[in-house]
Amino acid sequence: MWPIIKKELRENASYLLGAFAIALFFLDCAAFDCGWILLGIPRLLMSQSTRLDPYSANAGFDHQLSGTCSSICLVLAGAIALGQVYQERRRRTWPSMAHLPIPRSRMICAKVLAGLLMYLIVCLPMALLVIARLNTPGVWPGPIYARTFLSMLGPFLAGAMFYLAAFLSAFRSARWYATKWLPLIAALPAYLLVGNVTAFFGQPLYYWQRLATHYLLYNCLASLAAALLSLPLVLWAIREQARTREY
Amino acid sequence: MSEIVIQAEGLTRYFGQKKAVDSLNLSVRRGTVYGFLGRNGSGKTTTIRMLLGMLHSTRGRGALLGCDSEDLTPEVRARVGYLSEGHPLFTGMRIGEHADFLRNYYPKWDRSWFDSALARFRLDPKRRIGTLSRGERAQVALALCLAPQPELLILDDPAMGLDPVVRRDFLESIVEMIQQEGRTIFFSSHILGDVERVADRIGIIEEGVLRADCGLDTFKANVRRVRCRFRDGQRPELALPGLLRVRWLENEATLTLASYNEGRLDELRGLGAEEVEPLDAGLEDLFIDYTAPLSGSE
Repeated sequence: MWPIIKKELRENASYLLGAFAIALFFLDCAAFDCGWILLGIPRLLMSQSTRLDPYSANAGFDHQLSGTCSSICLVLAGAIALGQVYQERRRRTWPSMAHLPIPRSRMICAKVLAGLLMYLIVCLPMALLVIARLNTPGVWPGPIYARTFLSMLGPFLAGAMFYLAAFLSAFRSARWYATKWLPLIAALPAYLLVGNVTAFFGQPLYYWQRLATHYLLYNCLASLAAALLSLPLVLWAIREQARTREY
Repeated sequence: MSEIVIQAEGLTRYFGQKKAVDSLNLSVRRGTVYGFLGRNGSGKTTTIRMLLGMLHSTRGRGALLGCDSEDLTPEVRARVGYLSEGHPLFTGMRIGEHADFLRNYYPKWDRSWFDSALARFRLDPKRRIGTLSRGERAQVALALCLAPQPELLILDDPAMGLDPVVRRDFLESIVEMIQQEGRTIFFSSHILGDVERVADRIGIIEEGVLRADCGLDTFKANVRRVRCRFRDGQRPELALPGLLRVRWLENEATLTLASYNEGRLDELRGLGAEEVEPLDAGLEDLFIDYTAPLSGSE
């Protein structure tokens, strides 16, 4: 599997650098909005409001940074997935890949692992920035436990889910107006589930005392139900793709 | 009787309403060099993709080395070399890295053969694929395709986009490989001169239908051009069975006939031809007459 992972990294290195630069730029914008200045460019683009919401569950935590991370993760995940598939098609190298004497499932696994690795590489600076931000005194209203980071992991995990869905969608030899978009639709509940579960478990302890009435609990249950309902669709898409060598 | 390495039975593929390949029946025996000919969009690549299991057939089945095309195992794939249209290579790698990448998957990879092929093509393994010319790319692609020592080689328009000098060199490499016993080559091409030089059997596909599947010599013996001279001012209606094409030049007609035999010359004499002379035509001319519509009378 490693040769394919290495090949994917090599083939997509330039795009990876581009994605990395875009991520850093937007993150810089968000960070500046939280009072941080990295490059000074965002001054022209963003307002200087701190966006702190004293009434929210995450009182004191900046939603600007969190929202930016979510959006960047989704965009990057989608771009990496589409890039991996369409680059191969544009260069017409897919027939050579499809003819490699290895099981199809192993090839897809290797490609997905490579994609997730690229996603991780691009997201790593963002994750570090978020952790650093969380550790800034006055940002988080309470002691910081390991669990606290869970709520911030949400966007990254959701991005990974979206990557899988985008990869499967791009890979499917179907038409967009037919069934090509099915994995993406199936990814929506999974995306919500990951976001809600990490937000729920990442809450400060004192919110857990009102667990039964906490809206995040119901969000979790609703998205879990939706994810379970769409699970057969995802499994079907994966099984179908693992069986065919069509491109 | 030698073993059949490529088989297609009623292979059919539709793209929407369009029938790309229609009930194609084909068998290629071990050791054959099979030229698969057809005009653009006639269904050559679709057939190859179906045979390699990269495209599902709407009906019918294909098999390579006795294994169903839809379920080719990695072991069978390792015995089949495939060079797809346009010599695609991974552009982010160097030649040597590309070879190292593929070597991981082919147990019979012959490194010394690959190195000698590169030396023959005067290519440095350290060169980046992205910097290679089209001809060099074709050479690298061929070397990479042959290094795993495949029993069956499927080449999809291998000479496409190459200049005559590179093409000749490229073909010589293929010919060299043919000399190794037991190898089968199935290649599609537009360049009929190349096919004539290396193939011993040809198939002609036209609008998805396999219209000819025979030995090259049989084809050339059965499809012939005949020149007939008629009396001045005489231009009879030449409604002959198997007539593929007629070209008139004053009172002289050049006909291309399928199912040619000596008897056909008598038929022409019966129509009033004063002189009848069979001509020697190249495969390219015969192919054009065979695949062009009959309305090509001039």
